[in-house]
Amino acid sequence: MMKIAVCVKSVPDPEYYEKITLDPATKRLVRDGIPAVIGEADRHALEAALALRDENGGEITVVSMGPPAARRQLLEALAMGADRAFLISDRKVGGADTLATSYTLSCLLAKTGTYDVILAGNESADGSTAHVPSQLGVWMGIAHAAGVVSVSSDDKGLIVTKEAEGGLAKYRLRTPCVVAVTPKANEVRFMDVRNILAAKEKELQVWSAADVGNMDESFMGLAGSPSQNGEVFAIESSKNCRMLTGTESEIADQIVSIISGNSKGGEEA
Amino acid sequence: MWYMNEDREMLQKSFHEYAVKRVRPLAQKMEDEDASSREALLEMGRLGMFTMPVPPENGGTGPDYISWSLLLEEMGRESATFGFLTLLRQVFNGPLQVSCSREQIEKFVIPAVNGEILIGLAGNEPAGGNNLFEYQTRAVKDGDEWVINGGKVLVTQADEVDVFMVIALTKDQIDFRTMEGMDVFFVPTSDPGFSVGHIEHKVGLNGSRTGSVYFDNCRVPESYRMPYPMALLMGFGPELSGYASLTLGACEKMIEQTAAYLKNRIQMGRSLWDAHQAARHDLAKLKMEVLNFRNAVYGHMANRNAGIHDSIEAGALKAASGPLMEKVAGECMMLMGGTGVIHETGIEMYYRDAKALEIACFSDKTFVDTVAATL
Repeated sequence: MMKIAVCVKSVPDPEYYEKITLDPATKRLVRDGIPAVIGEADRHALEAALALRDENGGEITVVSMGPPAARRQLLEALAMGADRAFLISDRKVGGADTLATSYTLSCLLAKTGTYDVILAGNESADGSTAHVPSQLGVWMGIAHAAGVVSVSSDDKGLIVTKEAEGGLAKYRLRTPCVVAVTPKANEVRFMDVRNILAAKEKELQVWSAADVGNMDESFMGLAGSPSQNGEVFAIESSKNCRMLTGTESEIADQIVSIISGNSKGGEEA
Repeated sequence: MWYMNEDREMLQKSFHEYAVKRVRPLAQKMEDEDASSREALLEMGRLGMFTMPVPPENGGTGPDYISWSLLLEEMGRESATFGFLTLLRQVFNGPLQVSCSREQIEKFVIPAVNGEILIGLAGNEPAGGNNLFEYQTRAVKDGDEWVINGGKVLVTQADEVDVFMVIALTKDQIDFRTMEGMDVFFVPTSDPGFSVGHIEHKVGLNGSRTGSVYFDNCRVPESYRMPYPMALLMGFGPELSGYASLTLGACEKMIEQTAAYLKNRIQMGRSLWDAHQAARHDLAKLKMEVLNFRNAVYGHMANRNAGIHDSIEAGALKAASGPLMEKVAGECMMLMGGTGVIHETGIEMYYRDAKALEIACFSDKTFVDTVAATL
């Protein structure tokens, strides 16, 4: 029996990325009218959890921090097959950077139970920092692995494979541990109609910071966030086609020159 | 839309994901190579997609016809044929709930709901689909078994199902009033006397593997004879509204595809969409028709959720769906010009499928007289 937790994040639906804008004042994404979904990497983390539960038996708890509407993504995680879900939603934890987020999640995990394995998506689809899983491991003082492309278990514990330079590296992790899963790790199974219709019957709690309790306000929300967004702007790009002429080696020299920034090279077509 | 709720939104999302990931790659192969949909249909069963209007005691998740319609819509978006084959599961599963013995429900129906087997219907004969009285397929009692001889034509999934429901005459004459003398038997296709004949080349609905099947001294036990065969045949009526659901999906897809094409096709610096009000309006008029049809379909499904199963209403929706789809496909092909008639664009496939749908199950022309009889 394995007790598994999965951290998920509600993010804007990638199908609507073209419609997302940045608020120039707050440097945050303007999400009005953009549907939210479970982050892609988090779905793979949940799939890894389902596979571990299929093999070992046990229970899957999903945790998240986000606005009240993120309840919908937790319901979806239950529909995908998780057993229970907890959302911390409170202005006191809002405006958090990755450090404050990981602190809050570590408190939520500690409040909801003890776990053999904590899985998370390697990075979110919106922030893409890939900080939170490792920070979570540090806050909790347990082993953690990021960039994981396969997860399995045997009677001694958890075995993970990470992508390393020039190959793959295999690790055996002492439990409890945090594993950050990439989309390469598995193929997410299709949802079962019976699971979808049973999701509402499962435990789904939305908690405030006070409900979680024992949280240090200096580590939470804006106050606990050492990093803040700097200037954020969209990069303007335009196409520019140049025709290179000469012999093959002359053209090769011109390409080298363009790449190294020494010359515009060739004639504008 | 007014009929959506949290459960149905999640269901629709999961159906959509399945349709895009599994059905989309399969659709072209079904169209071009008459490729089989069997494995995908069985997988859908395992994922619980055939449980929706089936009662919980028979492995179902209860009577939500709106969710069932969402399933058909999503499958119909990617392939009208696949939508049609999805629909057949319920065309059978629904009436089988009331026409079968408990033993038959456990042996055939629950496994079909769970995606362990596929059930098909071998009904039609050269005498004509509505002309049961002149059917040639006979079942003769031999001890505790029935011996079946005969053949069927235009059978959907002729070489793909595990068990056929076979309509056979058990007396020389069928009683007009009670239909006594006509029976329905479950016949496993593993029976050594069962064989498949020619698979037809059709105008549309390719991949549905329509063909002839033969029964040469097939032997089945008495327990495979349906106790209430009329409940099966009468029960097909309300399920016909599913045709309208899959058609809705196909129509919406064509309109979206055509709008995207018109917006992206630039001529002399302007998109066709911006340059031609007539094109915009033609497409908008189709959208309005489809929107009205959508409300009619889901109004009907809401009625079914409330326990009202009207065969005439369902048949009217079925009869309206083929012509609507043919119209939308024809107009979209016109709006896309040369691109519209190219096979790979996909619209012309819906055009041909629409014609086949108008005839599948029953021809819309036969149904009109059923309505006339109510006047």
